[in-house]
Amino acid sequence: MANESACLVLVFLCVTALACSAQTNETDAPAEVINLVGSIELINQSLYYDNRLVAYRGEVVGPVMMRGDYAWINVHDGGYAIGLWCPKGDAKWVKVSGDYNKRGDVVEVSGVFNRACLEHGGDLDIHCISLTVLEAGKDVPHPVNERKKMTAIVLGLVVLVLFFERIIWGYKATEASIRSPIWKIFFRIRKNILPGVIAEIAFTICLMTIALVVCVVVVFIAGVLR
Amino acid sequence: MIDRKDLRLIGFRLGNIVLGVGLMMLVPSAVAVAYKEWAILADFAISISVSCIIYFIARKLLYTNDTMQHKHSMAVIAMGWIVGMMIAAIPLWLSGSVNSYLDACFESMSGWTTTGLTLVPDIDHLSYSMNIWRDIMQFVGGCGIVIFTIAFLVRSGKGEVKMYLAEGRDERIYPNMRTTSRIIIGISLLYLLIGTILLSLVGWYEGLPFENAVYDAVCYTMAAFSTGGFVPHSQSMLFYHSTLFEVASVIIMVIGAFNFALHFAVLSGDRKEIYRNVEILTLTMTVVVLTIVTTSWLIHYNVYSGSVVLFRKGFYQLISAHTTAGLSTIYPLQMSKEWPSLPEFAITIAMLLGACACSTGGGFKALRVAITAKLFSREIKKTIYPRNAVIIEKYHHLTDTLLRDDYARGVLLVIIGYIVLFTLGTIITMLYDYNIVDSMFESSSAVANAGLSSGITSPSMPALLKVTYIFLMWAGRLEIMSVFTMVGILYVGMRKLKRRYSL
Repeated sequence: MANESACLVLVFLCVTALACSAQTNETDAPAEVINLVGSIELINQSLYYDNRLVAYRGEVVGPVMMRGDYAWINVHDGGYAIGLWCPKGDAKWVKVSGDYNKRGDVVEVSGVFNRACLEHGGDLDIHCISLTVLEAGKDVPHPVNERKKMTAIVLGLVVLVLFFERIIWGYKATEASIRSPIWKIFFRIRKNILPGVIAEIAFTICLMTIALVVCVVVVFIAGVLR
Repeated sequence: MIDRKDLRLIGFRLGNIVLGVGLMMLVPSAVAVAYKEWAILADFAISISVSCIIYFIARKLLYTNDTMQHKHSMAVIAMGWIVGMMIAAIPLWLSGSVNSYLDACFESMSGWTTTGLTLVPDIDHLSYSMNIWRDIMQFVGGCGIVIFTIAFLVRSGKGEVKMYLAEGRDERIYPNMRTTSRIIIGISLLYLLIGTILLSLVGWYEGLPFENAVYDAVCYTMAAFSTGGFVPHSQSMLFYHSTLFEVASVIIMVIGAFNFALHFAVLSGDRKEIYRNVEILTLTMTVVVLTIVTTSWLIHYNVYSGSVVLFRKGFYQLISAHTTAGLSTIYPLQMSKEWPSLPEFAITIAMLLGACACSTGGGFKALRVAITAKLFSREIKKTIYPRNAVIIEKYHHLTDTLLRDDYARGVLLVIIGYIVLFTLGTIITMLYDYNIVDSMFESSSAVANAGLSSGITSPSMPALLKVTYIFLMWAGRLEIMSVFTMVGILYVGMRKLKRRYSL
C-alpha cells in the first residue's frame, strides 16, 4: 500500500513537473506567429522578413525543378513569383503547373524567408517547412473568337485576290506568253471574263439609274401638269 | 528637297519592310499550330493578312525603280522601325496579351530594338507562340530589320548600303550588301544553335522536363544573344535558381555583344583579333572597373556577402547591363529598395556605355568610348608636348587605324545625342515623382536598349511615359542621326505644304 502511494506521488510529481516545464517553455519562447505575406510586401520589406517564418500563398507557375532531395517551385501570388525550396516529398503534391493552357495548383506554404539566401547564391527565396495544395489546377480553355475567325478568312481571301492580281498583272503581259493552262484560265478571267462581268453589271446599274431618273422626271412632270 | 517622287520611293520601300514583318509572323504561327493555340493563330492570320494587303497596295500605287539616296535611306529606316512596330503590335494587341494598343506598340518597339522592357501583365501565362514572337522580334531586331529585308526581299544596290548604314551600323563585312546581310544572319543562327544546345542541356540537368528545357533554351538564347531580355518567365533568370544557367547565359550575352565584323574575322581564322581589338579591350576595362565599384559597394553596405553571391547578383546585373541584354537575377524592386545608389548608378553607366559597334547591343558602343578616350589622350598630349610636335593616335579595330578628326567628330556627336536623349528621358520620368537615381536608371535602360528596370516600367505607368520610352528606344537603336533626318524631312514637308496652301 505504502509502495503504491509512493508510486502515485512520484507519478503525480513527474506529471506536475512536466506540465510546469511545458508551461515554462511556452511562456519563455512563444511559437512564432506565421503571417500570410504577399510577394510585394516580402520584396519591399525584405530586410524585416529576412530569416523569419512566413506563410505564402499563390499559384504554381512553370515546371517544378527537382534537385536531388529537394525541388524548386515558383509560386506567383499576383504580384511577383517567388521561388520555394521544398523537400521532394512536398513537391510531389504539386500536380499542375500554370502556363497558357493551365491554371496551376494554388498552394500555401510556411517556411523561412531569405532576402539573399547564402545556400542558393543570394536568391530571394522561401525554404519550405510545410506545403498544402489549397486548390487543384485546371485547364483554361481559349475558344477561337468567331468574329476574329471571320475577319481572318475575309482578309485571307483579299490577300489571295491581291496575290493573283499581282501575278497576273505584274508578270504576264500577253496570253501567248503563259504556258500553264491554270494561269491561262486566270488570265482569261482577269483579261476578259472579269472585266466583261463588271461591265455588264455596270451597264445594268446604269440602265436602272437612268430608268429611275426617268421615273422621277415623269412623276415630277405629271405632278406639275396636274 | 523632298518631292512627290521621294515620298513615293520611301512609301514603296516601307511596303517591303511591312511585308517582311508580316512574313516573320509565319514562324510564331507555326508554333501556334504545334501547340494547338488556335485563338492565337487567328490573331497572327489577321496580322499577316493586313501586312500583305498593305504591301500589295503600296506596290500597286507606289512602285518605282528610282535609286535610293542618303535622305531616303535615313527616312525609310526611321519610319520603317515605326511601321514595323505598328504591324508587329497587332497580334500582341488582338490576343489580349497586353492591356492596350499603346502597350502592344511599346512591347514591339522594345522587342525590335532589343530593349526588353515589358508591359505584359502576366508573362507566366503568355502563349508559347506569342513568347516566340516576342523573341523573334528581338532576334531579328538584333541583326536589324533591314538586314533581313535586304537578305531576302530586295535586290542589292546602292540604296541598300545606305539603308544598312542608316540602321546604326558602321561597318560592312563585304562590299556586297546581300552577302554582308547573309553573313550577319548566318553568324546569328550559328550562335542560336550553339546557345540552344547549351541551355537545353543545362536546363535539363537542372530539372526541367526536356520539352520545356528546349523551348526555354530557344527563348533565352534569342534573348541573350540578341541582347534583348524578353523571356517566358516573369522572374527572368531567377526562375531557374541555377548558377550553371546564369554562367551559360553570360557566355551567350557577351558573345552577342561582340561586333559582327569581329565575329567574322575570328570565325575566319584570325583568332588573335579578339585579344587585340580596341573594342574588346575597352569593354574588358570598363567591365572590370564597374564590377569593382558595384561589388565593393554592395559588400560595404552588407547587401550581399560571399563571392558566389556577389558574382550572381552584382556581376550578373552589371554584365547584363553592359551587354544591354537586360536579363536579371534580382527583382526590379530589390535594386531600388536594397541597393545603395552607387552600384545602381554604376549599372546605369554600364547600360549607357553599352556593347560593341555593329553588334546586337545598344548604348554608346565600346568603339566610340575607345575613340573618345583616344581623343582625350591626344588633346592632353598636345598640351604637354612642344607645339610643333606631330601627335598621332592609332587604334586597332580589325586593322590598325589612324584617329581622324572627322570620324572623331561624328563619334562625339552621337554620344552627345545619346546624352541629350538620356537627360530628356530622366527629366520626363522625374515629372512623375520618381527619384533621380531610378529615373536615370530607367531612361538609360530605354535609350541604351538594355531592358533592366528599377520597377518604373509597368502596365500602369502613365501613357506619356510609355510614349517617351518608345521614342527613347527607337532613337537609341537608330543612333539618333536617322531620327534627326526624319524630323528634318517632316519639317521640310510641312513647310512645303504650308507654302502650297498658303497657310
